[in-house]
Amino acid sequence: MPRLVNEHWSNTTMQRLAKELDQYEVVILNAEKVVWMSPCGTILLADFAMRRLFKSKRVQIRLPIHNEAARYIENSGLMKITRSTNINDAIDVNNIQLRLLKKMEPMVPESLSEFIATQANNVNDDEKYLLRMWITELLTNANDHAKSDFGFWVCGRYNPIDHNIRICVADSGIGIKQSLVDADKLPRNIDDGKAIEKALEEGMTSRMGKTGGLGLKHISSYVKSHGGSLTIMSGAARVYLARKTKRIKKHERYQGTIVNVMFNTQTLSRDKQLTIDQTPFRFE
Amino acid sequence: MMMDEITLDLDKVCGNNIYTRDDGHILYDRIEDSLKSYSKVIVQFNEREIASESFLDEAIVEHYFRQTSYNVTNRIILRGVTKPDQMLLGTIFEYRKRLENKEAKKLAKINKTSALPASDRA
Repeated sequence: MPRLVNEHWSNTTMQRLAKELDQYEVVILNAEKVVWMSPCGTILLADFAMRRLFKSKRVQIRLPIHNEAARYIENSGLMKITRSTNINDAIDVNNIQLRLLKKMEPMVPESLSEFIATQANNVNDDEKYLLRMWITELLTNANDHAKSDFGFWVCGRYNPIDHNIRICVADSGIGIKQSLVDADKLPRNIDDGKAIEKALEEGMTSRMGKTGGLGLKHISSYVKSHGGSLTIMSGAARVYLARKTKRIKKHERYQGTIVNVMFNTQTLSRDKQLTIDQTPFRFE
Repeated sequence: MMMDEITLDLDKVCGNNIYTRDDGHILYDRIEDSLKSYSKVIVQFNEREIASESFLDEAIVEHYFRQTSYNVTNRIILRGVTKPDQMLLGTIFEYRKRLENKEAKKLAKINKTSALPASDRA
């Protein structure tokens, strides 16, 4: 594995992991050179280890030489999966950083946003609220669209070197394209990249006869204004959005959807306050 | 005859399920049922932070966009909503209004086009 296990590293990894999923009794992941692992990388490896465990096959991780990276892998819950022989005790339900959820669970967005904000150290209460809101939004999306018994992953982390917060949510459901095609919102012959772009349009939803929520469009506006990016992988495409960049690439097919959010905490204002516009609501 | 008011306690109606659209729909239905019998429906949030756009949209904002004879603006009272959740409710409302206007414009354009004689259509 390379030094930096970030979200851009994932295509090569996914090809390799997909190839090795059913091979050999034990697969050893050599992480000796790793100095940093993103939530997206963590989820891809955890997912691989968990899927192999389902087939009673094992994964071993050779821990990084870099102390911080080794500590992260130990504490993230990844090692617990690789050491487990039983799928029922592979996931540490008390772990905040990495979770596999069967359905939306109370307290997960609260505890993860609190955990990341504590690491980042300069996030005020209003920004913490927004962080929690994005995590909730990503998780409810996965919860509503995953339609898979396997569940969905969530992982979040702050990197003190580049001051970026990263949150990744991955489900193994039908994917964005199929979800919108089934709802008659898109033609059957549309490619995965175009389908992701459509999903980012205001008002787009797979719910029949309803308008879409603020959703991904809102998240992308926020991260773009905070020096960040939004990466969505679904089916055989990956869409990367940053302030002045938009890239659509073909990708190793992923059964489901991965949404990766990254933004810089140095762009956050300590004294930023949320404002309330004129609304029709009667608050007391 | 309508009774005066009813208070729906978020904790009792939804418990810890305050995230998804399905969770929100439970509260939506309770408000909708209560509006049939009571002149005022107070939803007590107990200062509990929701931070879920899906839940608040489905449970609360949806009432303000329904074609209904109820005047919900004066009849639904939101008590104990945290400031950030008030802000989020406002954002969702503005967004829904924008979408509604956009849809109306699109529809007006379609109607205008279809009203033209076939020879004038592009």
